[in-house]
Amino acid sequence: MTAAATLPAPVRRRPLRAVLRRPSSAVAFAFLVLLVGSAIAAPVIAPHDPDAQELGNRFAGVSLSHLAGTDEFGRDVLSRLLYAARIAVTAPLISVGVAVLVGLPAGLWAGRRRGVVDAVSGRLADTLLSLPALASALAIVAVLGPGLTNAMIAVGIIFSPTVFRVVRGATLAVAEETFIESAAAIGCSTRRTLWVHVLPNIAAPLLVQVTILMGVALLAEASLSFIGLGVQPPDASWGSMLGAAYRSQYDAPYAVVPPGIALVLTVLTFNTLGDALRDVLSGRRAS
Amino acid sequence: MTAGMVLRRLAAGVLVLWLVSVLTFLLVQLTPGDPAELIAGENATVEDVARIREQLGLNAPVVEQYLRWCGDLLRGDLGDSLFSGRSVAETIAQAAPATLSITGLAIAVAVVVGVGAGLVAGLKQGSWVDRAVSTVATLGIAMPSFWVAMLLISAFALSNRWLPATGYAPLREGLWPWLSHLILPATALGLATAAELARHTRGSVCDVLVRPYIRTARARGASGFWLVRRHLLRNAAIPVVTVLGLQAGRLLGGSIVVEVVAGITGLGTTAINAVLQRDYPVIQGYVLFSAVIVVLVNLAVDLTYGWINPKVRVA
Repeated sequence: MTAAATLPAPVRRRPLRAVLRRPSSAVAFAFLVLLVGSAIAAPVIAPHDPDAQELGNRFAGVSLSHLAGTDEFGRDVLSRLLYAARIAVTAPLISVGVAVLVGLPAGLWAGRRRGVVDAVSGRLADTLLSLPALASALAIVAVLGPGLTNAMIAVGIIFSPTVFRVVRGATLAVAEETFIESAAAIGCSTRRTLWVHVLPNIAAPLLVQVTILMGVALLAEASLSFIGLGVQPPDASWGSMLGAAYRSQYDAPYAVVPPGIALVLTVLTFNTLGDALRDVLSGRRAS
Repeated sequence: MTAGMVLRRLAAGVLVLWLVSVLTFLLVQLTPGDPAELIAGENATVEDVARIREQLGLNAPVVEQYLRWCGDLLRGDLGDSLFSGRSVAETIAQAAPATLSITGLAIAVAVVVGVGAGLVAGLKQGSWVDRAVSTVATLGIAMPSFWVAMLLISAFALSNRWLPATGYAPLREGLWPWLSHLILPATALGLATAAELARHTRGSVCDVLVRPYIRTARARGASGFWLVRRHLLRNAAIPVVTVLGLQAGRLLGGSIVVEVVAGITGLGTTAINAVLQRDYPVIQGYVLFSAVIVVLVNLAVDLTYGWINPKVRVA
């Protein structure tokens, strides 16, 4: 076995093009563009104010003026779905951002320095990973207080050991390379070695992990908002819309369908892109 | 598996639990501001705040607080709920059976459906069954379990009144009352795990099928059920058991939301209320209990490796 066999594949020149060549991930990417587009353009394309109540028109069915009906306050469901797309895009970014902010430096440091730092942070990561994710998220929300940002920070803290492990593993493999040795030999500081020489070489596994975590974060957001610890009214996320639909399921049994489908499609999109990126970046063909 | 290895695994589990206990202890300490004032709420009197501070032992120095907390913990005393006044251990003991029933049943559903589907897909690679399984598995991983639970309850308990929509019946009231309340939430909870298991079982079967010992067994005339039973299952089981261990925590966490949907008073709903009220002793007890369960499951998984694969026993 040569050292090259353990080295993570460097990012291909045009990984995006390779990913988009697959029909499934092309569709997923198109959906992601559509989602981000409608999140940004929500004020323009939403047919109604998402918070405008028509109390005389509660639980209205599908009609020309309310393409997806109305909710328990007579608010337009389609407009709320479109505005909730903003949360579906930004909330996972908070979590993943926190996870990378904590996990990346720690993983680089542990992978390069080894020794006590590595042993201690590894044990801590194992411990955090041994807790049920949603249970620890609840505990952290208890400390920070409910609310979307706090909930997503909590989810990010839960994710950080996962990012830590991926980064540490990749760093360990890269650290054996001769170019790292020569960087050290010409007097690069550890910090410079890590950011300039190691980071580009571990970008591929990190990117894959981050994409997959986006989907997991969205599911976590939906769960926490569903039980009322995430997004707070009158704001809506797909998860909190499901919560409202659940509470009024005797009046409007089909209200649970639209936010659920939006949620599933978006998670599916992140998962499909994550899988495709992993295959492309590790040089595998479509399975 | 030798006694030494079991001991080593046990020690690792105890270390993890100790770290978890430190982290849960720190929950109160890390709360920004004065936890006692936060818990007491805006309309609390000075006496209320003082009482809560006393109850949480916040007046003592941190090290003394920690030692006292540890001592209580080792005697099984998790403190009292700040709101109901009942002991946390009792609260958890009352809520645990429902949650463990849902999670256990979800694992059973996941193993039967997931391993079954993965086995068929792996044995009939490239067939329509294989494609159908992988499509359903991809969808299953993306669906939030509480949404699936809502759909199942709506279809099987509200539109058709075949099963009860909400509530929980303990096992001592009979097998059917217990099962009928749990079957929908447990199926919903187990679906994502089933999907994950189906993927791994299929992959594992595909790996094993190309091994020389399978070719040898086939050359000796083994086929069909015998081939699967004798040569394939055991070798394909290892990754599946690993996945199951990793999923235990996810199922226990997922149960929180599914309990809400199914109207079941379990650990999850208890924990949600505790978080909303900032009932720290209950939250701490819940986190510790969950960690104990996950550590025990992983210990069981480690022991199962040795049982499935004799090579591990000596390693």
